[in-house]
Amino acid sequence: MDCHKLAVIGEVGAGKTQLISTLSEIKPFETEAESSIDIGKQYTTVGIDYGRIMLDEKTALGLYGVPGQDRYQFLWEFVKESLWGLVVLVKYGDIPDIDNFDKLLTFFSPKQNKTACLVAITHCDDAQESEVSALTQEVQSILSIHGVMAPVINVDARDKHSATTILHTLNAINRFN
Amino acid sequence: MTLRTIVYVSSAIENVRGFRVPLGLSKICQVARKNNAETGITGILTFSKGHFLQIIEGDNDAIGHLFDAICKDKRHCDVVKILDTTTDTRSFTGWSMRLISAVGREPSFRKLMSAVQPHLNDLSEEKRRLFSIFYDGIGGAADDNDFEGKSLKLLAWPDFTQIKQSPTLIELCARLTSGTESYADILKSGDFGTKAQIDLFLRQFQQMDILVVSDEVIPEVSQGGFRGSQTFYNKMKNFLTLG
Repeated sequence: MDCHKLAVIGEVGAGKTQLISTLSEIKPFETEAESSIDIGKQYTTVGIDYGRIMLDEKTALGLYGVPGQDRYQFLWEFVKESLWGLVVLVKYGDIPDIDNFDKLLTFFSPKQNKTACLVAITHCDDAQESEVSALTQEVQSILSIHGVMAPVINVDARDKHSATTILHTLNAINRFN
Repeated sequence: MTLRTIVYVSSAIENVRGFRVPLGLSKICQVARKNNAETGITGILTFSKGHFLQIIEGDNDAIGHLFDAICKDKRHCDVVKILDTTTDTRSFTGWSMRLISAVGREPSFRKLMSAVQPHLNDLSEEKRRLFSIFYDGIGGAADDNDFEGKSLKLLAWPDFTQIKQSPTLIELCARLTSGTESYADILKSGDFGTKAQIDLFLRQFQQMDILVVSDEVIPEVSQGGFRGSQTFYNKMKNFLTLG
């Protein structure tokens, strides 16, 4: 089996579990637990969510949803090798945790490892275009510190058409990478 | 009515290992828009190379109060007033605070700069240096819209709030961000739409100030420019096409 790996990383509530669920062809293996503090939702990912897309009988893309907080670096370690793509989810409305974002980019080093990478902004439904544009500029500034030239796209993790934009984009980047 | 206009440059605070990231930019714009709408202030904000440039225009007192508050704001530092002048008409009507990425290409900004050119000529060397981060004083060279015989490269991915995401556009961006490519190869590949569609994309990239057009000679690319796994690419593309 030729199995490629896509890592989806994001902070609490960014939409990792939802995105894996939307893209996966199998019922995802989810590792959510009830939160002990108020994070705006009842459950949050504490391990790796796993889903899969079969491209043919011998080729698959494994989807790995991993918490974005650096205390979960041991999980990052598990998915970092030989990635086909790295997706960082950023929730619109939250100011990105730049220190954590910085650690994440340092850890995965997409430029050095030539990993196709993109940032997907989620929860943009009611956002003003100019504010999404401002968040895009914030994110691009952080990426530029790491010398990473990556697209920042808007994604509705619940919508299959929107979610597959991520696959389109990473596939295009890998084509020329 | 006489309006007061202030142009200033400031530095974002060092927040990531000595780098200056415009943290909270979307919140700044959101709050500025709400407050400015209440006080009749209009203007623009832009960020480049660790610095902010903001222009605010409105009633004399309202601008004075706002600028005092801006100077005390802890989210930036080293506020340097570039211009403080009066005008008869607004340059940014309807924009309670618009974030702009390529300010030098913004017609209303360029119009204002033409109007205040005598003041710009009198700027100190330090102010001129700061201001040149955003505007070269010339207004940018005219774009060459004829790409025949040229080579192309993207300096960054476009802001997808300014241009509609589509698979074709994304393929083109992926190719042009990966290195310099000849216009002829882009057309010949057939992967990026018709000549008219490609030219439209390229002109939009020029408006965003992210396209480099040069006379560099690029060797002809074979196999559709593939550098990654063609087999996996084709399987994934087929999967996405079939939906």
